[in-house]
Amino acid sequence: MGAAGATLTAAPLGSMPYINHRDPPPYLPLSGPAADAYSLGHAVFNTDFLAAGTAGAGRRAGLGPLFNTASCDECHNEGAHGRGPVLEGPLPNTMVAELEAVPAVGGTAPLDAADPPGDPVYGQVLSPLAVEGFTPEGEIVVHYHVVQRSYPDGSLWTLRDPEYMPTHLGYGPMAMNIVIKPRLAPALFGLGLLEAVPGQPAQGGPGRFGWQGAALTIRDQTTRALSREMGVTNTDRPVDDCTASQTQCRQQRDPQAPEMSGELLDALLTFEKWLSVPQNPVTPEPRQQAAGLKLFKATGCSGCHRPEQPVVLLQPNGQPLRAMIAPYTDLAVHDLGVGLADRELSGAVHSTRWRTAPLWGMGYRLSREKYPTFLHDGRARSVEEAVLWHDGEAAVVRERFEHLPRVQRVQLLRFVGAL
Amino acid sequence: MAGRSRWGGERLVWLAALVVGTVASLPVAAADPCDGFSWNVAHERALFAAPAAPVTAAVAAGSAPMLELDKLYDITLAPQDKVSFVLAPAKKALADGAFAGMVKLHLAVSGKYRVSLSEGFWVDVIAEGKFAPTDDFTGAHECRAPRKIVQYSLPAGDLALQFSNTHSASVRVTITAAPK
Repeated sequence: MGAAGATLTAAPLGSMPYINHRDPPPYLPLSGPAADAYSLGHAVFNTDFLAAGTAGAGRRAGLGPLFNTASCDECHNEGAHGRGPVLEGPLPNTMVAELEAVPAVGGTAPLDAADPPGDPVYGQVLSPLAVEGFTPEGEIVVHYHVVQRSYPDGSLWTLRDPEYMPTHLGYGPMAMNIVIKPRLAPALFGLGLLEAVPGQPAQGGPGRFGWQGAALTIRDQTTRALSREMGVTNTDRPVDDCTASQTQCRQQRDPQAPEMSGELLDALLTFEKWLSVPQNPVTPEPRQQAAGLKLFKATGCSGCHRPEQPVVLLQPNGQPLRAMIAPYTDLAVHDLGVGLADRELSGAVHSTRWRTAPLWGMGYRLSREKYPTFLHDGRARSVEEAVLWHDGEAAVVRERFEHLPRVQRVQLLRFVGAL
Repeated sequence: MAGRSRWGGERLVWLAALVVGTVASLPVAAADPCDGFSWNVAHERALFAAPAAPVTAAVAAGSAPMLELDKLYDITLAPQDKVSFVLAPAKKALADGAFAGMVKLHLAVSGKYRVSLSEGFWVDVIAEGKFAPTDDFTGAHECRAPRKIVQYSLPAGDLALQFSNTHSASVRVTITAAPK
């Protein structure tokens, strides 16, 4: 690792104070064309797109016909996590319900694990909204089973175990071999730095973006989200998620004329690439954080939530830079057990493997969100609940956490909450 | 079929919704699209059901019309590139074909107030030369009466409201005190 002649930074790179959350800064100073592209990309990110053909819409045209949200910002909230489900009922439209068709017994696995086949009628995403004149695909309703147990010291904990069911289906029944995969919009902080960690994922293997590492690059994840979740076609993905059954939707499609230009897509990617990680607005007490980190490592959390990663990247001036970042992720995919698994509509367990979520930016997150939710589907209402859901490869670490004295559990959770 | 959870016991699937070989959706009565707000917005919805007073928003702060609380307004806007904002809209976005404008509000008492909008456009409230921070927001995509509500903690005195990035040349707005 390391480019010859690369500058090596002393302190972890990436975090910046967010003085104005509506103007999130890049993690390195930008100027000239790079700064212009970052600013334009930020504007694209915030733009509420309008239905294709809307008079006078110009660059804002292209939404739908089927979609989840009209802008990136509506889910990703100035780069932060999306809003998860606070109560039972329909999932908020800021959560994406991905659909995956499981091959029949004896059938072949999908050629591209990152782009598995969806429902034959509803495609890869169940779109809850549609532009005027089109029928929305449907909604996913969540019902929670409450699980209450106690720690070895007698303190109680409660989890909500979700079940998902489609409702208001607009195009007929959904097949039984479909896996419903509810996905909370993750934070986009520091994406460019995660991409700069050496060791590129193998083609077809787990990537480092998306809850299950389905996307190899930021570009891959972004272009897929634009076309599938907003219906905004682009140069990489010139078709949206309408299936052959959805003839009216398909008629809107023109693969020769992507709705987002290459220029706007590049600007959007520039914004995402340089977006920094927000510092905790409340500076944590250093000795408490040091003690918390020690406990984080001793419990075994750092085995997957790696406190540090090296990066090698090109600075805006074209000079190479070697640095360390503090993302608290190994960027690898791990089996976290049956409890967190996506399930087929029949209830059969599908995938139990999840990419280690970065924990950086947690302090900022907790300072801003009224009802933060955690994990891929927002089932956890606190960092503590998220920890208690860890099973499979993480079962041993979770059990160590459970057996900590209460004061140390609080110390560890406070540490994570201050990152 | 069911799957065993970590805590033992079977997770039951909603078998009543299954049809052989396929899953039909749950039989649910058609919902009112305006029932999707996460707050009690009965007062705002009632105002949106009332007749609207026509108002033309200003393109510069000095000539902005004064609005009152608890009234529904039908506000005519101007092409956004013709508007001189007090402060550039806090949310940066593409503004192709967008409309914008400014109005004023006088509050006798400081407190929490809601601005309710017929579309999902951007609204800034400016107090004492600065953006008033947003407390929270809620919305219902399929509702137009209203579509989006933003809540602020506002000081007493004169305030400027900037509307931007609408896609309609006229929008409906009410301003209400949040329930205590």
